[in-house]
Amino acid sequence: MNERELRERLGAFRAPGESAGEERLLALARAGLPAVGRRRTTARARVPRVPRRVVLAVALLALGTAGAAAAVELGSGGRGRFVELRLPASGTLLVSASSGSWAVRRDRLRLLGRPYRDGALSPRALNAAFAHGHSLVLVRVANGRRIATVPTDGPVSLPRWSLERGGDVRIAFRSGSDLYLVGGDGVGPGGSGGPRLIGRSTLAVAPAWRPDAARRTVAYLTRAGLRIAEADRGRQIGTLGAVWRGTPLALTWARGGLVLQLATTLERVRFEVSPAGVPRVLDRLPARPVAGVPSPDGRLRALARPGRDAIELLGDDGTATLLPDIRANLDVPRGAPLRIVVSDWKG
Amino acid sequence: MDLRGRLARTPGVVTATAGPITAGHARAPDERRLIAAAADGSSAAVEELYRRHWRPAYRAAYLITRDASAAEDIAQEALLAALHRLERFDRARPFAPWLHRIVANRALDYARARALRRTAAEGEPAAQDPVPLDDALVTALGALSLEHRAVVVLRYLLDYTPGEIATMLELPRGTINSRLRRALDALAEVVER
Repeated sequence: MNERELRERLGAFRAPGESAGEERLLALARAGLPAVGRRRTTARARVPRVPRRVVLAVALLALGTAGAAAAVELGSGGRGRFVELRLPASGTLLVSASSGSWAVRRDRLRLLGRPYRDGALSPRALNAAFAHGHSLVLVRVANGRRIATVPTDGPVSLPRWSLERGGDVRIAFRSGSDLYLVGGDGVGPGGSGGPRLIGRSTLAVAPAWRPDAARRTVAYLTRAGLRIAEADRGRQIGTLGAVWRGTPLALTWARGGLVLQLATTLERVRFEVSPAGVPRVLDRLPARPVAGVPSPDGRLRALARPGRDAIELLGDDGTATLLPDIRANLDVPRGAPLRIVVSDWKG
Repeated sequence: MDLRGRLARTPGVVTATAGPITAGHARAPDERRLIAAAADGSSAAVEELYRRHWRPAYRAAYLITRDASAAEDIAQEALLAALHRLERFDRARPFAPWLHRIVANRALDYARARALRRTAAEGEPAAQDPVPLDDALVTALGALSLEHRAVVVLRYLLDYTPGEIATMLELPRGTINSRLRRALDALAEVVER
């Protein structure tokens, strides 16, 4: 083979995934890289609008304490409208969109996962867990590298990290309709082996780790009702029948782990949970959220109501914040499912 | 009107197509204006720069690392890094060699680190296994040593001269020439076998 032939054959070479990679890069650029040059602000100088990419679902998780604000443009591709988010000074947002999953930091974006779904950040935002087919995938946020793959028998969904306890974390996730537990490194919770089964016949609602508990406790829903389990021992410590109306959407702890809130399509039910883990119904309020997701610390819950562009952030202290035009800002069609979680918003 | 149509009407921005790579370092006459527009905050210009340079960067990274996921990371990081440093970029110089130098060196660093990890943890699967290659030439390229593969990619995919490659990789030109010769011999043996 001579040089000319080699050049021709390499010139005709197409690497696998290059078109998809290009689209992801462009989506990343359109998602609001803030520091490329000086953004024009006047109407006269504004460049033509880039065609919008489809960004249907956005989940935002903010960790840590309040810090500097940052304006992040999501999915609107040069439309000139920004969603202002409060990013913790050393914190990270995890943004899950149809074009990939990104860690968003104050100075840069980092693409973490491409075909991954259901992203969740570890308590210190060092790692992220994703559902990927029948596997749970753990990714290092700093460099996007996959650090562990946990294969299971069923399709994985809704991983959630526990808070740190003794320098250790756990991840609860669904595989099929079963709920499993692994350590933060993807190894079994005992330091060896595979995932540990926690519960069967669970509903498609993310498990909720109880904050500030003496024991590592997770709440989840099954077809039979509410279940509260001591995760490391794999035993149930509290049960309650399916007392809710409507389809469950989100389960979240509040008041330092004394109250558990369940948002359904028809109502919000609050459970008081004893330190030993025994739940009872505290109260219930009628509500008709299209979708509602709690913040990781349970202090806030975001609700989108039918026919309105606004998002309501409900605090567990009874406060409510209205974020107008959020759907338009996020490029989410009216009526489409919306997933947004903001743990710290100072509007 | 699509992006290219609108870009064509934007002063200082001329569109290009992302076809086969024939001369990766050949600077389009309008590229300087495109870079200036990008540095001035034109998102359309940034996007066009991404479009122009993504495929060569990705293909080069892929051929060096033989790992699609790593190649995407490397090319993406290199483009983002380059675009973020545009204001410090000497616009009198072509953009592509600047970018390809970053890509080639990052791809080499990645592949070396991966080889070290495999040596340290022999028998354990790599975090990202290479994507299977079916093309005979690309398979033959994969059989070359990392250093030989890199110079072949820079020379025959991106069309740099041995002198330019020597500058990029900070190696003597004689080393580049000898690596190219040996790589061609090895490729010929494998492909014609």
